[in-house]
Amino acid sequence: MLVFLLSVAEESDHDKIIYIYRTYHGDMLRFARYRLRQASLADYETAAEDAVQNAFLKLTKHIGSIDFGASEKELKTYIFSIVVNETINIINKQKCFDDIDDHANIMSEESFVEKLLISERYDRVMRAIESMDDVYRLALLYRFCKNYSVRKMAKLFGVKEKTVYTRIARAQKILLEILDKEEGL
Amino acid sequence: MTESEKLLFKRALLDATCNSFAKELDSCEEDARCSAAHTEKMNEILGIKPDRVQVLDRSRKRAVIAAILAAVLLLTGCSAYFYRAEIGNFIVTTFKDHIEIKVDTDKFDYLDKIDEKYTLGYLPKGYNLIRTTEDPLARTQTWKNKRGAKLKLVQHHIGVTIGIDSSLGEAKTLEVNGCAVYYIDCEEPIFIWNDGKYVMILESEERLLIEEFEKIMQGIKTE
Repeated sequence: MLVFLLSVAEESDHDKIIYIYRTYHGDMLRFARYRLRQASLADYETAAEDAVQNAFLKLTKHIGSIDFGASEKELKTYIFSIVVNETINIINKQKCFDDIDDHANIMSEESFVEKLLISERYDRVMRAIESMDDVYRLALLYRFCKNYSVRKMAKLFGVKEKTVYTRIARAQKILLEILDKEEGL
Repeated sequence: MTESEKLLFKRALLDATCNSFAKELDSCEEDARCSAAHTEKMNEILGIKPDRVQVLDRSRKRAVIAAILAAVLLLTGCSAYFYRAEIGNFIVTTFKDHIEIKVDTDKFDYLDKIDEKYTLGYLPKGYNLIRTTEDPLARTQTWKNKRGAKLKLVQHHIGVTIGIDSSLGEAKTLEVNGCAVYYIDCEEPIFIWNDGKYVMILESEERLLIEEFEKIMQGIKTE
């Protein structure tokens, strides 16, 4: 525990984490409870508290990467994405799921964004992202919005680097498939 | 791929994720209460010390109800507390595990707000102001020295009821500027006094000489 406390040793970082706690802790807990109850976890209340504690440990370690100058919406989205990730880890652990590490290839950023044709169909792309599974949506969010490296994402998500590669590659494939399917209708 | 397409994709990702979380949060009926074990763990993670001085009541109306309830308990012989004493114009009630301190507000006509802001006119060497927070009913100023020890002055309106863990240290009294000061003599002393307008709490993370604390309290001034 001391290791984590040391990383928030700076007054400003400590103030930031306290701000997150005072502003979002209640909603983080409600959100985690909701997600874990939906996943039919037996002791979801305790599991939700664990998820929030783990989320705060991660936030403490990554506080330097959080942009407090961003909009409240953006800040809240990143904070909640960490809670989501912790609930996913708990569900996977309890239900003995694991990501399959295949060797899918990540498309280059350029060719992927080009294929999305986003300037022509922004709303459709947004709806398609919304309909994606969290693990894939978060992989794209951290890769493209936060410019996280695969290694940094693996650390944040608590998974192997190979798993992160797989998630990004699959996320790209899934998003394009959803859009293609819509196009074909 | 143009830069604008890249920016659009980032925006879409953020908007979609935000919408999705907001929808979930809206449909969630869970409450935010948590277990004592969780609170303890969170305090440990965040490095928060549990508050040694708790505000039990800030409203005049509820303070009156609390006083009536205490009187009823006394009359009916339900000794919920060990004893009650008057220290200056404070009513100090000692319970099994905590001490409650409030001013006998019947003696005063007061406003439920802070309209005169107090600060420390004398500071021990090396302390610098790091934070001021305020709401209509209380104002807190915190100073910190180079060793990281904090000195905190909290100013409440006079209707407040304060609770202190009775295991912190020995309760003593002294007099400063004609006001009775109730204090907890321990490694991190706490001083509570009032001037008929406001209740002041001085908390120190370092045990200075008592004369030094007296100088600090004597030096209180309006900002």
